Amino acid sequence: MSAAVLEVRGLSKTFGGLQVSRDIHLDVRAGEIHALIGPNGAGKTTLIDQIAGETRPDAGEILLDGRAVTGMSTARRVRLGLVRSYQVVRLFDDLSVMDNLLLAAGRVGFLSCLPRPVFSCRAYRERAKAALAKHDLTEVAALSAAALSHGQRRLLELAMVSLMRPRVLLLDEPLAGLGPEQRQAMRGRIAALREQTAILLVEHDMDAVFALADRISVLVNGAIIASGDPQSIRTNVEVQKAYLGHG
Amino acid sequence: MNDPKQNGAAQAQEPPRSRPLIRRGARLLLYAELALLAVLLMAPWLSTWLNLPFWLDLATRLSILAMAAVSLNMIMGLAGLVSFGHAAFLGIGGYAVAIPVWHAIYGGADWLAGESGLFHFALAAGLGAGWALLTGLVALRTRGVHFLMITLAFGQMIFYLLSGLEAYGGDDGLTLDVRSQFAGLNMDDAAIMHWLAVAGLLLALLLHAGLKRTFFGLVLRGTKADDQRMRALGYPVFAVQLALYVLAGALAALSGGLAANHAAFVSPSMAEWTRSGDLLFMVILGGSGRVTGPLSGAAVFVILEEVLSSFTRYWHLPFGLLLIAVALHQAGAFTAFLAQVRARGKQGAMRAEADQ
Repeated sequence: MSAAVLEVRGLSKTFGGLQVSRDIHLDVRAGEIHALIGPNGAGKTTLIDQIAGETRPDAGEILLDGRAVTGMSTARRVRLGLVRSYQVVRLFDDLSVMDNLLLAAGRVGFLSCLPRPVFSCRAYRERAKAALAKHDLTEVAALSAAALSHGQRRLLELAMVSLMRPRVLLLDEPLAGLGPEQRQAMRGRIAALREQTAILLVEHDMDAVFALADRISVLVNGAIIASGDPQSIRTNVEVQKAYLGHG
Repeated sequence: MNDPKQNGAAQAQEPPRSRPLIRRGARLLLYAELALLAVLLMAPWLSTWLNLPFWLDLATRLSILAMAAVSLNMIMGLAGLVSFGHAAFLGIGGYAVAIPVWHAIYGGADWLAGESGLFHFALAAGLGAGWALLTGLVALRTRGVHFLMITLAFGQMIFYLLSGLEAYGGDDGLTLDVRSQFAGLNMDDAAIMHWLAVAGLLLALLLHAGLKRTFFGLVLRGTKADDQRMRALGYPVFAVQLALYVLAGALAALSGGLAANHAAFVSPSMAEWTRSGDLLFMVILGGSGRVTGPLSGAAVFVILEEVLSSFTRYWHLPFGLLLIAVALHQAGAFTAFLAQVRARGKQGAMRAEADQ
């Protein structure tokens, strides 16, 4: 197996009296989808927040390509390729779909384009247009993001993160709120992303998780109780007791 | 309210969630503002023709105030930052003109003394930008009401600093014995003074309109909508907003330099918080974010000030009531109101036709 792109070492976090992350060790290797599962309130999103830099851990280290990013701002991590999506889709509702994509495409070397009119930033425009076509959003490019359906909003968010040249993509429940057909399509898109980037996937849809993931880690009460390939997780007694078997 | 003249084709093209009434009002207002701009450009001729020299004075004042309001509108409209300390930049710009002039006449501080307009305005822009940089480093770490309060505090610092400059008149202010000297331009000539003020206003308007269209403008809109999301896209939100704030500060200081030349007088009251409030009023009334909005905002402000103060010394009372009305209805209300008035007028006309 290839080297770890993202490595989390001994991460701990306490909110008041509640320990939401307990000495978490985790790594994501190049070209793999590593799924993070666990019951509601297990601390999955808090872990993503810490990796993305939106919440400071109390202890532990986060390494991207072997480089410690623990003290860096969110924006710097993103520029290094640590990119996230949100559990509740977060778009610029007042901006057009195209502008949303331009902002995502523009984060690489945006200084050169800064003083120029939006329409003259060709490189961004081409990349944004390609992303529109790839995600079936070309027809709604001029609409404001607020006018999209939920499925389209999920697609737009995926298009945005894939434009950001991620090294590691943190996907927080990308299937949430989608219908069965949309889920199937989204699964295909996530699988296709694997060639572009390593993925840490948080998801409740177990069919999707077991179909997509190369490895799975199980988070319960802020601690990882098991980690391994899908088969070993499926048969793990601890996991079944805590999560899968429902008793 | 339903518009009597519904145009199906035009409506279908409009994206959902738009408010056509406000849009139509905005278009009317835009025409009015462009007309005002034309009047401002021709004001020296108009005032000579109509023999109303006082109106030229008023038009110059309006242009300078509108320029200052445009600068505030840039940070409010583009980045959603509501500052209550914008008058500080006017004070800084005013004294950047007055102090070198004073030294040029009364001696002392040779390095600072001078009557050159280029020097004055470069100094004003530099100091304005510097003050914006310094205060922005602190203020931009906050948002919303906190940003408002902290800019108010910084603004008061400048006000008290200027009041404490005993050598330069303290509370009483300072009269400019000569105006800034530009090669070939004599600011003692009211017409030239006016055109310089209008040039400043046009510069500010073009800068705002241009910025809005650049990628920088798009990035700013993103930070206005959701700054955390922008960070998650990798943008240095703080630096982007600071750059805008510095630009707006320099622009506002330039308008302060113009104001000093126009009145041939500066005083700490230029930087008083009530002046910051006036600028906010102009921006909100014209609709924050509309590039030309400060034109109508400043016009209404100047007219109200003139008209109301001729009726009563306590002109701030009706003025305050109007401010409350505007704040309650929020930005855009004015434009919607205009559209309503027009729509009602049309309905009336149609009814009159039907009666016949």
